[in-house]
Amino acid sequence: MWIYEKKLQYPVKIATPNAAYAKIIVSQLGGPDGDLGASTRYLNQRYSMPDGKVIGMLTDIGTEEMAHQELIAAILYQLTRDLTPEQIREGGFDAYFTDHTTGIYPTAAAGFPFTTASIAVKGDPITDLNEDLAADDATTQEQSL
Amino acid sequence: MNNMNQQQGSNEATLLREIRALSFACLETAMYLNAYPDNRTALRYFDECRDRLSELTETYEERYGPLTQKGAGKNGSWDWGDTPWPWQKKED
Repeated sequence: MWIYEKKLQYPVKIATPNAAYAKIIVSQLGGPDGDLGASTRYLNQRYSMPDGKVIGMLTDIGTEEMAHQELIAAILYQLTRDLTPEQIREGGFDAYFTDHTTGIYPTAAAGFPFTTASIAVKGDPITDLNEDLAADDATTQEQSL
Repeated sequence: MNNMNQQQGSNEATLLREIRALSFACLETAMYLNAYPDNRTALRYFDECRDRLSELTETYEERYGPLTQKGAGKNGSWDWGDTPWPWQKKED
């Protein structure tokens, strides 16, 4: 069971659209280390955890990652608002635009659509928690780019 | 807490900013408590956060519209889809 809150976790207010930024940032939504993968990973791994406290942690983190998806989507929505055809071409956004116009589609920056092949669920707590640590560090690296 | 009246009496953006900050504080404290459930100071802080948050949420929903589905319809009409969605806001 989940409850939606009609507010962003952090405010997003982008005055100037930028197709080139959108082309890169979309990976934080649907890429191999994106927030859709993160919430999917945590929320599905939790069932095989042996400890209620660990399940609670994965539930909370997986839920927060859903809020992060909305944040990234809000950024993409505002970055691609009112783009001109020239801006779409110059920003290298034309390939994405051909398939999705300015709709929010969870995909990697490299062009492959979101896939659970980028995450792992093994049903073993140590294996899965180690995968979480690796995934979290990958995200940290991506965000520092 | 001296500026409480000022915060409560000001506009939607300010109130929402306060709610967002409290919400984040609640969330992060809860995460901390997941790892350190016996920390009484953190538990007290969480209680304070939650109480203040529900107080401000009630004020916000009465004035500006729902923040959750259960907060919808407080003014006699179904307004869930009438207020702007979070990514549509021009100011925050």
